[in-house]
Amino acid sequence: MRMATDPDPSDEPRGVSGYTFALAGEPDFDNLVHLQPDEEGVCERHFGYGKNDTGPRVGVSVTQAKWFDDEKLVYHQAPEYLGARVSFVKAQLTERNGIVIRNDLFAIDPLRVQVRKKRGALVIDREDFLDQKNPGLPITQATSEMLERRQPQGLTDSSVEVAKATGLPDASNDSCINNRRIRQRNLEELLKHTRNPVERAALETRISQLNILRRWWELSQGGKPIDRRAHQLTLQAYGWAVDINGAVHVNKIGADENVNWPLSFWMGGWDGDALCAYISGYLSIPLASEA
Amino acid sequence: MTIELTSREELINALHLAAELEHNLMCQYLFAAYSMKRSVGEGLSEVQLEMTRGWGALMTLVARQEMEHMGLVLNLLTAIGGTPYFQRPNFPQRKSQYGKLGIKSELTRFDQETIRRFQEFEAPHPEPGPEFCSTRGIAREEIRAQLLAPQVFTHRSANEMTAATKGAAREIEFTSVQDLYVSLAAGFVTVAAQIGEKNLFNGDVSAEIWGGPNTPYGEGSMDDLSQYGLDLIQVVDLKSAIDAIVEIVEQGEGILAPPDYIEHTHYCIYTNMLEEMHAQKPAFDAARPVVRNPLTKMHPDITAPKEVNIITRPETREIASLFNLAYETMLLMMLYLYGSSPKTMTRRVDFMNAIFFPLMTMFVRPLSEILTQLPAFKDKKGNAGPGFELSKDRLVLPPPEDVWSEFQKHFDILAWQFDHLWIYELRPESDDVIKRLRYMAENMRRLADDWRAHWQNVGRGE
Repeated sequence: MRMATDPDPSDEPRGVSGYTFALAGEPDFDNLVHLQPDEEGVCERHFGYGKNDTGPRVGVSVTQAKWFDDEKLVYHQAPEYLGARVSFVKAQLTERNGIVIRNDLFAIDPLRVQVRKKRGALVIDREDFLDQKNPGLPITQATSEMLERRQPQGLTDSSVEVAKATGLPDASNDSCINNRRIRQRNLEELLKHTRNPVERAALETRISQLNILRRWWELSQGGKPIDRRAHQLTLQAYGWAVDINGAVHVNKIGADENVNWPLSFWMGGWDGDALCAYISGYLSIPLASEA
Repeated sequence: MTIELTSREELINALHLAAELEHNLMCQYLFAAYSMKRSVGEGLSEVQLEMTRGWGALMTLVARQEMEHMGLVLNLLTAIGGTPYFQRPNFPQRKSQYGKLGIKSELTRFDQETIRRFQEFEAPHPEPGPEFCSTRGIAREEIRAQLLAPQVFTHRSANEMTAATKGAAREIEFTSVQDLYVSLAAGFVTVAAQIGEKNLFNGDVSAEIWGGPNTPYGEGSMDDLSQYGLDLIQVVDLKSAIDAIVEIVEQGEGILAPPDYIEHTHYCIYTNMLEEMHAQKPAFDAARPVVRNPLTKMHPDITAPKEVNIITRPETREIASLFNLAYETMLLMMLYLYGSSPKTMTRRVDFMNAIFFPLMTMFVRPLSEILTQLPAFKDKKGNAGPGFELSKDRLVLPPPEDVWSEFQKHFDILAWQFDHLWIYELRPESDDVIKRLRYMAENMRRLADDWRAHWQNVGRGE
């Protein structure tokens, strides 16, 4: 997800006053949720030199697939779909700095789900409408009920589920801060081996951003959370649950097109340096009776 | 030398001056930041663009902290029974406008001359040597002790302070921003001792706007302002008043900054920025060709009329007027928010939800950036910019019962104007400026409609 963060305006193309940036040598932000590395607009970064170049990579695939036998009332594995690639076509996480959504409970829009088999064959493609009576309704004209369908249920700080998914040793603040310090050290090492001035300029910005500045203004009552650049490593936006209701563009599995397809997922572990987050979820597709 | 403040009235007058200065500096910093080039298509290399963006990020951080200082000053005012203050004269003003403070009020693009002027605004007094920004500061307790230590006062009569804020002949005796705040700290101690702390802090402190985990304004942005480099505290007594002043002076001048923080003070940010600009080989121009003080019209309170550049290009002038309307609407809403008229917590949050992110970040800033891309004149070169023009001598609120509907009118007018800009007829829809204006138009329509619906359509927040 290459997008600006507040207080930058949501259409800011490169990032200035937030903490995410389109760096030297990189294209402008496209604000799209990319689930596959070969999508146009994906721009992955290096995280260190040599063996230390480890960090989040773009790619979401099917890890479990099964179908329900409603005669025998049992599930059967569907191994032909394991490793299939999932995409949200042109999806954005939208907030518009409080005009559409507030407080980081981003709505996903547009929402169109595609599943391709490993070799690329498109087997499922369906979109969801904010308003079934008005499929072209822009999000700025959506009601709160329409928006809520596309929002997560809430946010969880220090999520163990996120830490486990992204490989952090635990969900503590210390682990988050340590992770950022390790990233910073790895980037400093990479900088030593980088001669290209454009790449150096980009690395210097990233290293500088990873300074988790100690807060001097601790005057407000109570303690404060840690810097958001570290805190968000274990933040989870949970409970997206959308019954996909719109046009079916591809259906190669005999899905029932007359009913909604429940999609549920969570996102979390936002790494503002990598411009990458973790996503995990389920898509249930009722099969047509003749399939 | 410190100016002795010995009464509530003098404190309030000095705080009004402080609010005006913070507002003034914030506009100047934002103008320079928004004048900066934003793409390689504007003649920068990738490396220069990265350097430029870094400077822009620092400029906007400093401007945000000026907004925070203004918020702290407003809380100080409220705590002692003063009224919120959003007045300032239009740009540009002669240097003498602010007496011995020597603050030149003008809107100029980002360049070395401008940054040097900003560095002077933020300079500790006496101005330190070049090693200052790489040295270590002092502990906060020492800062507090220095602020509260007996001061050497410069003699002047109380009448001069009163005259200073009546707008006529200004006789401002403060010699620097630092001097103003050190005088205020001493003044709070003096007046609290004279009339009693409880008597001094007799304002409606619940009317203040403040952040932190226990903020009454709900979760979201206000509960962790430090993510934006800010901290807004509630002022309820002498200790918190001094805390607020300490925060302002250590972020700004840095003469009273704690260890490891000096390099982050405004003075050192500008000092280091100047050094980096000097070091660029080859030198490059990081800003758009924005003219000084681009205004839609001459205002009667301007004391340096020859420095004004009236925008004559009609389509640009129309957008500059739109910017001024959005800016003035935002100020009016803040005047209501900080004002003493009775309002529920829900009403306060309703206003904050319109001001702090939507108006500031989605309209005022993008319109400013667009203006610096547009030609100012019909017959000569030079780009426009945000003039931060105030159309009236005084911002005046409608009667309390009409507040919501009055702001509805503002939003509806803004939405209509966004939809009907002349520039749409002059440039193709594929033009980046047009695309951005269309995006803003869509957002303003949404804001106007949702205000009408009393925020019923906004998505669920935490």
